[in-house]
Amino acid sequence: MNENNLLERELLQLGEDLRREPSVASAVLARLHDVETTTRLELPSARRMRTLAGIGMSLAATAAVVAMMFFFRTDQIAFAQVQSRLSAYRTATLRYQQAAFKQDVNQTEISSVALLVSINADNARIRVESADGSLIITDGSLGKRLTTDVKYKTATLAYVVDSREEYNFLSMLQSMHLATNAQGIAPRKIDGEDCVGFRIDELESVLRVWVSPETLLPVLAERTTENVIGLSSGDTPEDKVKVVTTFKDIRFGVPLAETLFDLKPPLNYQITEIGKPPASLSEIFPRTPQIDPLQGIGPVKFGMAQMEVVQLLGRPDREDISKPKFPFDKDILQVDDQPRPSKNARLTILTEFHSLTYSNLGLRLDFEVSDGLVGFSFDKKIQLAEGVNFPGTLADGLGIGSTEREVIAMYGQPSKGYSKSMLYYKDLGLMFVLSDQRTVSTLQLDKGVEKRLRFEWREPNEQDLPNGKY
Amino acid sequence: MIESDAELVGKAKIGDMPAFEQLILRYERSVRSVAWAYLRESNACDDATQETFIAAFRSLVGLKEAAKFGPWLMQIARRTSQRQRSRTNIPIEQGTQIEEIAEVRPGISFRQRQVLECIEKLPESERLVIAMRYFDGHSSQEIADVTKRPLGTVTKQLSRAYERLRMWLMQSEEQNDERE
Repeated sequence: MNENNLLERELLQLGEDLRREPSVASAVLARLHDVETTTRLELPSARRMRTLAGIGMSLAATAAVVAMMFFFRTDQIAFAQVQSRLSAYRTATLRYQQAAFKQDVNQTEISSVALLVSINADNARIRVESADGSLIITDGSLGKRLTTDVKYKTATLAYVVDSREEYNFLSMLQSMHLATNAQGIAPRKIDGEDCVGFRIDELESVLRVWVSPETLLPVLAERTTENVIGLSSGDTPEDKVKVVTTFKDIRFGVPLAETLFDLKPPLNYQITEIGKPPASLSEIFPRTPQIDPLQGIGPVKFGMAQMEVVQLLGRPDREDISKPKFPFDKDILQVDDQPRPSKNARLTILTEFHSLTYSNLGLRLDFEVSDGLVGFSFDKKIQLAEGVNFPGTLADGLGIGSTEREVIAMYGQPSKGYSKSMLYYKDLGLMFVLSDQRTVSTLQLDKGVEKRLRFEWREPNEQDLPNGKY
Repeated sequence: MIESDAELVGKAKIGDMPAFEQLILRYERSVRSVAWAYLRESNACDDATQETFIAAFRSLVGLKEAAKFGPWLMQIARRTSQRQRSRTNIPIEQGTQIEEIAEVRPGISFRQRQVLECIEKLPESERLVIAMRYFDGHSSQEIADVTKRPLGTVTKQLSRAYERLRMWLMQSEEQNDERE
């Protein structure tokens, strides 16, 4: 026997001896399950921000940090993967059920509704069919909605600017704020499959989504809203109810006939037209608007209150809420001038951004409660209404579609310390986000001053902590 | 068909526990072999092996190249075992003490300890293929599949590893002979 054979025998024997030990798999999985269900996962220490010398930062920098956190959070990454997978689908069908319960000991059901929803993301078309055959068909690109009533044989064709987001499961799950708030929850067996669970705390409700580990697509979602007042006649403020909306039997990528989204009512129906066409660009901005750094665009200026803007531009197509998050090291004893009160105290960011998206203007506006309008975003990702172009350009003609070279030729080298996928000019509050082709895909404006985020230290037993995993 | 490490890591990242279990079953002996080289005590090795996989699961998000799960896991195993060794203060530097500790768990001989120590000295790529081949019982083709390396590379790494191990073990024997 040569030396290599001898060595191989020794290695095989050693392997056999090591394999006599029982597998640790079950113990590891049990411990992981315990970890998952009782505590939040910690960030990988190597990737945590080690210092928080100053918590003040511009809106753009805030966005960058939020994006970074989004990247490094396990649950958020996982949910972002689901969203990424979802983005490949343009159609979906599902069963939508909504039930209201009294918030008493018996949890008595007050009402319920079951609908069949078909979604075609192209042109933002949604068809909602109730059990009796009545329909609500919305075509977001035309800004029109047809509502039919089978019982009275009537139909209404209305001009609308919203796209019935409550039914648009595809759009709802693609919202960025969902991923930034996603936390893992215990899996649930659905159709014999152990589906991965996520919990997303929204402003007034909690959304839970279960995803197939096989397809990475949602198979069930539930939105629970508590303390809803006045759902039925005779309710007093004390008679609060809980509303549970369930999205199930979800199918993605199903072929949907064009006729499903036809806005013509059945022949013998009486039709009424209401409303007026959505505001057009020329209506709001009679002349070609110019984007003014540090000012705004046309009549829309930094610092305006959300209501002022809504009065000017009309109701937005969607509203999102996002909250910046910061990792903080357990060794950090002070942030700004506020010392950490105890070892277990955690940093809670109080600042919250409200975003209004106007598809008819290709514009997203970010508001902060105390400062009003703090950010503009002209973004290629915003689905534009038919015939709408991005509103205006900078005085120098730069805007969406300009090249990196053109921007640098005009503004010089950008501020240092930001991602290479963006050109950020801190003093001007101008951020050009670049596509793979190095052209401007998003133009963002902020006020060009450091934005101090509001925060406070909270003890673990104080409320307003994220609802823990369960 | 055998799923690659990258595929399993992708699933485990979104919380697919059966996928992570597959990774545990694929690598636990390799991890244990690293632990043995540092700790040489059955219970301590168990702890270190469990800690390694828990740390790996928690840090999966930081693993940029999913196909390099194996080498990455071995690094975690090494760090975890080193930490545990310093915590438990296990003396391992002297040959005689190694023998004493070896007696704690029958079945692993002094010679086998030497083999494990030599394996620990191998370059990362060779250490992984040796551990997967002999401790986790994978064929060369399976190693090639799960690590996304060409089969030829795996066999070359195995033969280079044999050569080094053979040489180091021979040197160890000579040193032991001199001591005696």
